[in-house]
Amino acid sequence: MPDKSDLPQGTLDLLILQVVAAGSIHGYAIAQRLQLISRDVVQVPQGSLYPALHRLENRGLLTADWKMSDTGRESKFYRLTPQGRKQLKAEAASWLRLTEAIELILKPAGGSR
Amino acid sequence: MTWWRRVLRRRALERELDAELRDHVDREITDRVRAGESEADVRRQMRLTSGGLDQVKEVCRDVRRPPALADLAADVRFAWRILARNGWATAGAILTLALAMGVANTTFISTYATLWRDFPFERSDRIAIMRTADGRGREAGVSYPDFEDWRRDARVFDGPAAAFAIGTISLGRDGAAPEQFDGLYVSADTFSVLRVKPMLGRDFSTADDRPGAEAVAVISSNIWKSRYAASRDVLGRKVTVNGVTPATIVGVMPDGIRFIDFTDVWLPLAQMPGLAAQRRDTRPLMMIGRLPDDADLDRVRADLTPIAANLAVAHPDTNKDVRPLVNSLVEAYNGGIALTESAIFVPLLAAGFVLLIAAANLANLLLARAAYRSREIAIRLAIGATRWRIVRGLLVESLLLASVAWVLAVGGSWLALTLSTSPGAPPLPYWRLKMDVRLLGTLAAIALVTTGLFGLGPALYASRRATADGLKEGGRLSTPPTVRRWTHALLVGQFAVTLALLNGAGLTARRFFNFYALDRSVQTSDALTTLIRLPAQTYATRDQRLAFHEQLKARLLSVPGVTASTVASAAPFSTAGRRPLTSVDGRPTTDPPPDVMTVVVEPAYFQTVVRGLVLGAPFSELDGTPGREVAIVNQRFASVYLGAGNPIGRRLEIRPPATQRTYLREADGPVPPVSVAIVGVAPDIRQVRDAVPMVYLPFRAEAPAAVALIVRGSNGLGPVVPAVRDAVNAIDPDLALGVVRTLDELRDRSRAYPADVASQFAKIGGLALVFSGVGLYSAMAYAVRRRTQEIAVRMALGAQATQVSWLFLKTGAWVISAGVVLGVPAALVVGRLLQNTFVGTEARDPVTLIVTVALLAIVALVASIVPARRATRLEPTTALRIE
Repeated sequence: MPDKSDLPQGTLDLLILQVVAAGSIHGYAIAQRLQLISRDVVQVPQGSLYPALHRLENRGLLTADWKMSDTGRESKFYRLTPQGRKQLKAEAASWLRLTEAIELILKPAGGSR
Repeated sequence: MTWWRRVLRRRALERELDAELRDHVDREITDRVRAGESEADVRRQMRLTSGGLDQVKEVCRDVRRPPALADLAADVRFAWRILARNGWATAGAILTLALAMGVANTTFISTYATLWRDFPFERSDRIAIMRTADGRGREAGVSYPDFEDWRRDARVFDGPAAAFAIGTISLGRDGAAPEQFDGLYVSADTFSVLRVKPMLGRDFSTADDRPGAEAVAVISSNIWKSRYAASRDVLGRKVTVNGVTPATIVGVMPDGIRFIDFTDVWLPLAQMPGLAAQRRDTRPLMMIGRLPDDADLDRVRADLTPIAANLAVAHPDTNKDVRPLVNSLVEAYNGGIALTESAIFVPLLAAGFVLLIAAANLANLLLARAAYRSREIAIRLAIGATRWRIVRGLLVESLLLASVAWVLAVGGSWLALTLSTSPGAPPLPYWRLKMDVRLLGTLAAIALVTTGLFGLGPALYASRRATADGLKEGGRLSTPPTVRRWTHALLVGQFAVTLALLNGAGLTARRFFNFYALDRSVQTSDALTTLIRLPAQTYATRDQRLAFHEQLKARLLSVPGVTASTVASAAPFSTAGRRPLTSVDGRPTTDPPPDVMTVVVEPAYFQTVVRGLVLGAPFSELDGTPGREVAIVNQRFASVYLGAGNPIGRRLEIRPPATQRTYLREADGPVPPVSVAIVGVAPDIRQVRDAVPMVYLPFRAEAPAAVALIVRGSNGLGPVVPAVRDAVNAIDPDLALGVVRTLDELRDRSRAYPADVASQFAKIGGLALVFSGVGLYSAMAYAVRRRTQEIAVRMALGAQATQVSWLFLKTGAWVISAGVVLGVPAALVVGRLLQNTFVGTEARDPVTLIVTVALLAIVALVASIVPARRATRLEPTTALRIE
């Protein structure tokens, strides 16, 4: 089983924003999607996912509605607010910049990949 | 979503959170079961990774709420539960505090309304009023020639300056009986300075205010309704002013505009009798002007002083040393009245003390509870609560008490004000009862400080005591001695203050009873009175006026039912003129001479109105003619100015004329004093509020133009009123009668104000008594409850009921005796204060003091006996089971 924890501080929020950016989605599906896309590297337990979702909702980056879903019950679907979209853009850009920089630093030390 | 909606929607959010998490669990289980796992395994694994739904929820909740706020909400809920658990005590304390604050609030509001009355004009604080003072500091108005110069040369005002003069104006020959009104002669710009517009028609133009212009009048909405039935045709109506001048009504002022205060008719200044010929040293006018935004009264003074100086050079015989006096109109108006009414501060002070008593009650409640709660606090500290958390909880509790009391007080006094303002006319012009934000803030501060100080202090003390200590004492801890000492001190203080207040209320009431005793010297029944003002144009000389009154008396006495008729310059219970008393027995009095109240009366006055003389003989018909210059003084005059010895035959020098209103004072002319011999001493009666030194002069000597006619009837006064009107108009069809009142009515009206002060004081004293009683009662009841077990044990061991009662009565007796020991000196101090405020109050009155102490003792005994008896009726077995 791949190591599933140890997401750097603050990255979970960014990942959630990215997943939600694709369209209205409920909490369970977010976790599934993250796990799928990361090839099981990112596994988010309920205890981290929902506080993060609520925090993002609280900060006005996400908004949510209760909608009928495939299970025949109402589920809470999250989507990005315009502010969330802006935040995602900014954070993603800065994350990419940072990882590029880290890569640059790590390359010579680690030799060829 | 805002924070408060989040607080309100707490339950809904909680449901949503639950639904969302369950949804997740259901989906995961469904998926994984579909993938082949067993449901039980999945659930167990999920619990392992996430630690159960409740933990997840808690973390989510933490994300959602601002923690301080949520804690505060919990604090408030906790405080509320604590307060509600002691329902009656809490309600009592809150009500006491609320009632005391409410009384302080309403007392302040009515006091303020009396002391400070504002005109209903736009930015009335920007209106300046100008008068003059001469070299000797005597104040006067402005003469018309001076006004014209000042108006022309003054640069400081925003717009033109204006001037007005007070006068009585009668209206007649307009289809209704002639009637007298308070009038004002105003220059054309007056209404624009005041920024007042008529509600019908127009006000005065410059053309109206020229000598020789046709007379026009503006009337108040008051007489528009009463005299002209609120008819719109009133504009253009012809009316005869003062019996001689034909005039046209051109405007009606809106409701409440009666500048200066009771005016019903305004005429252009040019219509003022004798205006054109007015000398510079006759100064009946008041000048007003509006200040521009950037100017203050000093600028006005600086602007007017050189103008006055120029006038002094140009007209040295009249204007030498005359300087302008500049004030704000509102201040000048209030100053003229407020100074005589400083007595209204006394109830305000009393209300403040009641607030203190209420605060003491609250303090006792909080002290008692703090003692009771030291155990709870100890436990909370022991299981890890921080000091701050506990102190904050107690603070919230105090805040809750204070704010509930405050809300009740504000609501209650608002209700009281609304109820008391609706009916009838206001007691004073421009009297407006309105809530004062500053006062509400002060009250809130008082409530907070009281509850904070007395609630938090003991609680802190309790929390500082070692945790082990608090726990060691267990559930039956007795009240700590410190707290008990405080409680007793507060109770004693309450009783001392109550004693002083009640005694003061008693003294005040007695004083007014003493005043009313004076009214027995006046025959008030079956008598009516009205004002007659003979216009100077038709009754220029004294002989003409004497002839009119002789005719009138003859006609009146022929009316069936009329038994007597007399005239005086002022009826009893109404204000009379004052004249300077320059010498007594040939010795000059003080400089400036004291003003003594002077009433000019016919000989019959001392049979028809006042019940005879104390000494000497009434005036004869010849008194007041040359060579018969005589006077009658009242008893108070004799005791103040004549000392011991027979007053009859002593000589006084009195200078005419009278001054009625300070702001219309004419410069004292070179009128020589008149020397009179005293021929009699009259009993003291009340002209205004109290008996003051008075001099009666014979009517024949001057026959003033304005007099009070007093008519006695035998068979009811109903038919007499039209008969008086007919008799007056048979002699002079244009002569207007003033308001007709009975002497009984005048007497009752004169009592209204003092009665109001006395009853206000009595109410406040009564409230103090009730509060102190309640305070003692609850302290005793509390002590009984806390010592229930002890009592039960004592009784089980054979103590007698009386012995147990005495346990508690002892405290009551101690409080009462200490309260009396401290209260009597306090009562004497209050008595001295009252004596200085209300002339004629006895500072020390043993009867009042004894009655007060007795009343207080009874209340205190009842307050301690009731709980003490309850203690003795306890069933030992039940009592032991308590706690």
